[in-house]
Amino acid sequence: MVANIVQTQGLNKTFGKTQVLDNINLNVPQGSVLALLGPNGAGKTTTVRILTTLLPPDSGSVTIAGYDVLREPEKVRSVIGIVGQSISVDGYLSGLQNLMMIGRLYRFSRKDARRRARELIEEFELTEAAHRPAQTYSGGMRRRLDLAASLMAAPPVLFLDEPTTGLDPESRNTAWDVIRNLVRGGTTLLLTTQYLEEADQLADTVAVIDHGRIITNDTPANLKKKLGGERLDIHLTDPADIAKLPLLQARALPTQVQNGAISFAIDEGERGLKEVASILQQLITAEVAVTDYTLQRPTLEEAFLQLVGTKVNNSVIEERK
Amino acid sequence: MQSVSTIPQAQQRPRVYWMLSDTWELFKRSVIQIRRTPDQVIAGVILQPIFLIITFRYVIGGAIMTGEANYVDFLMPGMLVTNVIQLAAVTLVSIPNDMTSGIVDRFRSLPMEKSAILGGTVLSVAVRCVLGVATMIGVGLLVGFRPQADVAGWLTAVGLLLLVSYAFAWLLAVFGLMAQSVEGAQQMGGFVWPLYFLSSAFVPVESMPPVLRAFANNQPLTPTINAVRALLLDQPVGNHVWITVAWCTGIILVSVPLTGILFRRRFS
Ligand SMILES: Nc1ncnc2c1ncn2[C@@H]1O[C@H](COP(=O)(O)OP(=O)(O)OP(=O)(O)O)[C@@H](O)[C@H]1O
Ligand SMILES: [Mg+2]
Repeated sequence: MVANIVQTQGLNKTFGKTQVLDNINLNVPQGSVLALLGPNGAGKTTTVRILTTLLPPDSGSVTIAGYDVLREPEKVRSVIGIVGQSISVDGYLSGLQNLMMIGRLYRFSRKDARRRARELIEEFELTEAAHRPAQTYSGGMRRRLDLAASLMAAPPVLFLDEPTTGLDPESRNTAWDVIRNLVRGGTTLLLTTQYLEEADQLADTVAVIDHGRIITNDTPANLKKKLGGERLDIHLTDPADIAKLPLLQARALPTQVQNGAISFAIDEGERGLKEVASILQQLITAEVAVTDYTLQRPTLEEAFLQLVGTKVNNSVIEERK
Repeated sequence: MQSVSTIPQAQQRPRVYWMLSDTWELFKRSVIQIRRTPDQVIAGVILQPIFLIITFRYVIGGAIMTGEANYVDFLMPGMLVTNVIQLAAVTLVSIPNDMTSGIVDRFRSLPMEKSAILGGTVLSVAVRCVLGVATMIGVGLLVGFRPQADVAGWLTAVGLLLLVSYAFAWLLAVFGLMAQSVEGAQQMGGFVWPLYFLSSAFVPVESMPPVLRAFANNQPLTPTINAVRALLLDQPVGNHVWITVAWCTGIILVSVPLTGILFRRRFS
């Protein structure tokens, strides 16, 4: 068996004139979880569709469990399960009917298909609704049915495109538990998400994607570390006062001047202490009125904003040249 | 839980078996859709035919001279043919619906025969047609339709109705795949209306001006209607049946590969 069960190299995809994917390289070792994290329109769904044989790339290659998606799509389909972003069950069929049909399309015998469908209905707590048309299900139930559908053949590799978007916190927690159970059972997982918390909770590796490019690819812990140590937020009574302190203004983080707060990245350890002291000293000397201040570790959300924000700034600069 | 249960094994069978089996599964899906949308069935299969028969029989029919002693006898075969084609046009809605929803991705990601995705929908048209034909004949009998056919004539006529609806379901599926939306597909499918009226459905083609008559005589619905009419009224059938079969075969042979091409092109 190959070590990287999902392997992509230099994927490019253009729709019309817009380049949607630009040189995507991703590797997912067997049994691990990769989160593809990015905002709307970043190219997450397009990547998943290419990886799951639903869309051919313009260039680049993908292998899943050693099978090439372009040359051996049928082999690939036999080892993957997909939960797409849009609901992919039939609303007129009941939950059980949906699963049985899919079982039959997987070439299971009628008896096996029924047994497996019942099993999954129970596992995903849909027993009460098993005989109702799926269009009467709540959003969370339909997502669960969708997930059950992609697990009919217990595929070793699973792709989940925004599995928890639109779910309330409780349903999201349930979904996370289900996903963790699958991973414990040895399933290799690639999931896309817009939530850093989700990536942090579930993934071994986070690939941040924006405008079709992978910005960074690292463990959640390293991603946090990359952002440096702490962050100092100062809330000025009058945000315009910052103009009195050009030196401080130059040091502030560019993307985070919001609701009157200016933020500074602070190093770890003693160096950080001295930085804080120097910033506070300058504020006191200039007699600038301060409402509030906080010193905290950045959340992953901020990490994301910072990564994406810096990149946007760079491209703006490139365009000006 | 995953590890406790045994995961079923795929069966090994010849490819033809799977083509039939997958089509059957998707056919069943479409039939369930029919059952779960009784409003559509009532409107399309029952109310519309009743309304049309009554309009033509009592409102327009009085002004039409067909040479037939009883206009309703002339009218009913035309009504049956146009109605089964109206019912076949469901592919104009259900195919673009499937194509724009996530379900087509689900099917495409399964190790199934992709031809079944359209094939199951098209086949389910037969169920609508049987319902529609039965309703129409029932209503027709109530308003004075007096068919003279024997069992063989009936079977041939119903067979032709199913064949022509099957062929048109594929043809309309082509438009369903070309369109970007359901609305677009329905507009493209509007081409069937001239076929209804420029045919022998409601008036004898002999009554038409030469250009329209030439068109009417050389389009698929006229021989179909003539064949069904001759069969049900126990008149000489001539070669209408064979011309109908030839038209339908031609439509199927062109449309089916076209749907395959359009389907693949849509997802590249
Ligand atoms: N079939 C298509 N034709 C043209 N443009 C497309 C097509 N599919 C996607 N795009 C464009 O490609 C870009 C990436 O889309 P994609 O769906 O991959 O983003 P995403 O990261 O999944 O976004 P979201 O979080 O909103 O689901 C978008 O700008 C989108 O408009
Ligand atoms: Mg998406």
